[in-house]
Amino acid sequence: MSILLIGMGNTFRGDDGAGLVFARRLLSRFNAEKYTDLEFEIRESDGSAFSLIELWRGWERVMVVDALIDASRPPGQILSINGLRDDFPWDPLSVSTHAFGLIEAIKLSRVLGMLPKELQVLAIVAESFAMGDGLSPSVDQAIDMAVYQWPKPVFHTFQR
Amino acid sequence: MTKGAIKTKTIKVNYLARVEGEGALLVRLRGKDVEDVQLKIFEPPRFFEAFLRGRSVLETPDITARICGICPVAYQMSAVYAVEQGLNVIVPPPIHDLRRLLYCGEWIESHALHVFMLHAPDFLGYPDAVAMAKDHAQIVEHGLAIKKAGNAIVALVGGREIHPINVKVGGFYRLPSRRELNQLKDQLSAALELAVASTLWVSGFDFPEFDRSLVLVALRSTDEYPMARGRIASNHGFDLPVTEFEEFFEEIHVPYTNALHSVVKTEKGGGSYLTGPLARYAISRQWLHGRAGELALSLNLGSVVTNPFKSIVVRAIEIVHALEEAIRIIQLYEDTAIASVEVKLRAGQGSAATEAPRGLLYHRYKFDAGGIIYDAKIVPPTSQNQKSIEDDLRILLPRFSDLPKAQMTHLCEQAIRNHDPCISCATHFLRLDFESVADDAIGQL
Repeated sequence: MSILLIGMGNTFRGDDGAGLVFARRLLSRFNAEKYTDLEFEIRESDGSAFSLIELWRGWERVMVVDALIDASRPPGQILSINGLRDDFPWDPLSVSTHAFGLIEAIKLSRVLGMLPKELQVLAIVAESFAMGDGLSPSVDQAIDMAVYQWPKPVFHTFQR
Repeated sequence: MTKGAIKTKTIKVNYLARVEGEGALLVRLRGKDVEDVQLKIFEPPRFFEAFLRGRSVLETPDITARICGICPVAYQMSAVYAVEQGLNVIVPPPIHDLRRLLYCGEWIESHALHVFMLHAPDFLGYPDAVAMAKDHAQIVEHGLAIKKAGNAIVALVGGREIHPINVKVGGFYRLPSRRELNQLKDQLSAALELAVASTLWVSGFDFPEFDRSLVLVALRSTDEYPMARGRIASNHGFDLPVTEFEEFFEEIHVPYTNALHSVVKTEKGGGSYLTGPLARYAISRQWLHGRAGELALSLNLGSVVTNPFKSIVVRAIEIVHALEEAIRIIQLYEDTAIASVEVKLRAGQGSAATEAPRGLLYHRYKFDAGGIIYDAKIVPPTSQNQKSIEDDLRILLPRFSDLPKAQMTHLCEQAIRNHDPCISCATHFLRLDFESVADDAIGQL
């Protein structure tokens, strides 16, 4: 069954672009290695709720990659979160430059019956949202490692 | 502390929900009198103006598109037209039409987001669009479909859905084919019907009684509803070429916000002014396309809409107009072999203003013989509207000072959202705090 992977963020806000960079590097790897058996579609999003809903509408399996602010975790750590869980950790993920974004997209999709059957959120712990392009080294390396090891999971399962 | 018997009420909204970005509001009332209104925008110094120094003018559309995730096309358009003005580059009409089509896509996207997701819940008594969707799912789906039509235009003409990459100084990197454009027509036509129905829907909202004199400023063209060309005009008699923008308007720093306020210069009359849908409508309503114009007439909007709460109706009409305009451009489009014209670098200065969804967006660049920028100025619509938004509240609140604090706080937020302030344009880190309207601090001073 195919999976839609959405990288979201803003590459001009430091680590806020982590999700986009992840998606682009993964796509580059797939293209370079001429993967044909992986049924992935990789898309980018600014992360606005409407855009996310438009992208994942009709998909059954979706993976969203976004940056996360969580001072209790080391920068570069990648958390895997079930986006459909009732106790979704809203607070840490609600820090975003996307204003009306992922959380609202999930809530709205639930109301409208447009949620995919599976929604996995890969949240990359960010270090800096300073203006300008470029990731912090820890986030940069973590993405490289995750893409290199893909599809072997290198993610920490989220726990409160 | 007590001063006489007059109560002083302070309303603090620490984080404004449902505006694009992060802002805060402080209102201080003494009895029915408004003592102070401070709309605070957490904007860092003009990062992008500094960032552009030392970069080539040819990079401006790609760099400035990153300033705002909501309206990147507006930044691209103001950037390319400013640079082209400075380099004396004239793009052929088909290129201008395609740029206008791209701009239509962004207007549709941005307005749909605001009308359906951010502003409509105010009028229907819902805390947010998610709550509204539980009772009005079909309406929200209409909003999704309309926005999707705008996305389709941006994705095709702009090269991708986010941060469009197809715009360059002198034209485009790649032109869409007539066949590709034709494929959009059915989607746009369907969205047009939804937009007309949605305009009728929002026109039935219960609008607070609030009319005031507004200084409205927008581009005025001789033959079209303004998007990317024309003179700067107002309903108070201003009429100037864009190149004189800085002689007429100035940005002032106010201590409580690090965003700049743009005002009319004192020697030109002084004071706040408003850009955006209300201004465009007042100055150019005669250029609205057929169904948009018919809606304005049938809804008795008049020549100038003076109630800012009705801006949602004008915004909905602009969606209708943008869809009609997009369809018109596609129908007339002919494949052309020229995607861009030659650009010769030289020392100079160029400026341009275009109509971003939220209002006038001014760019000015100074550059050397190699096209390297040494000075840049970007005046986004929100910094131009900010003082006028505060004025709205100063006039509005005394009429509603007897409302309970929760209702008054909501009214303040709604009044701010009338103008769809895109604080994101300020290019700062935003904190989303959806349910974080702080308790009012009410007390006697």
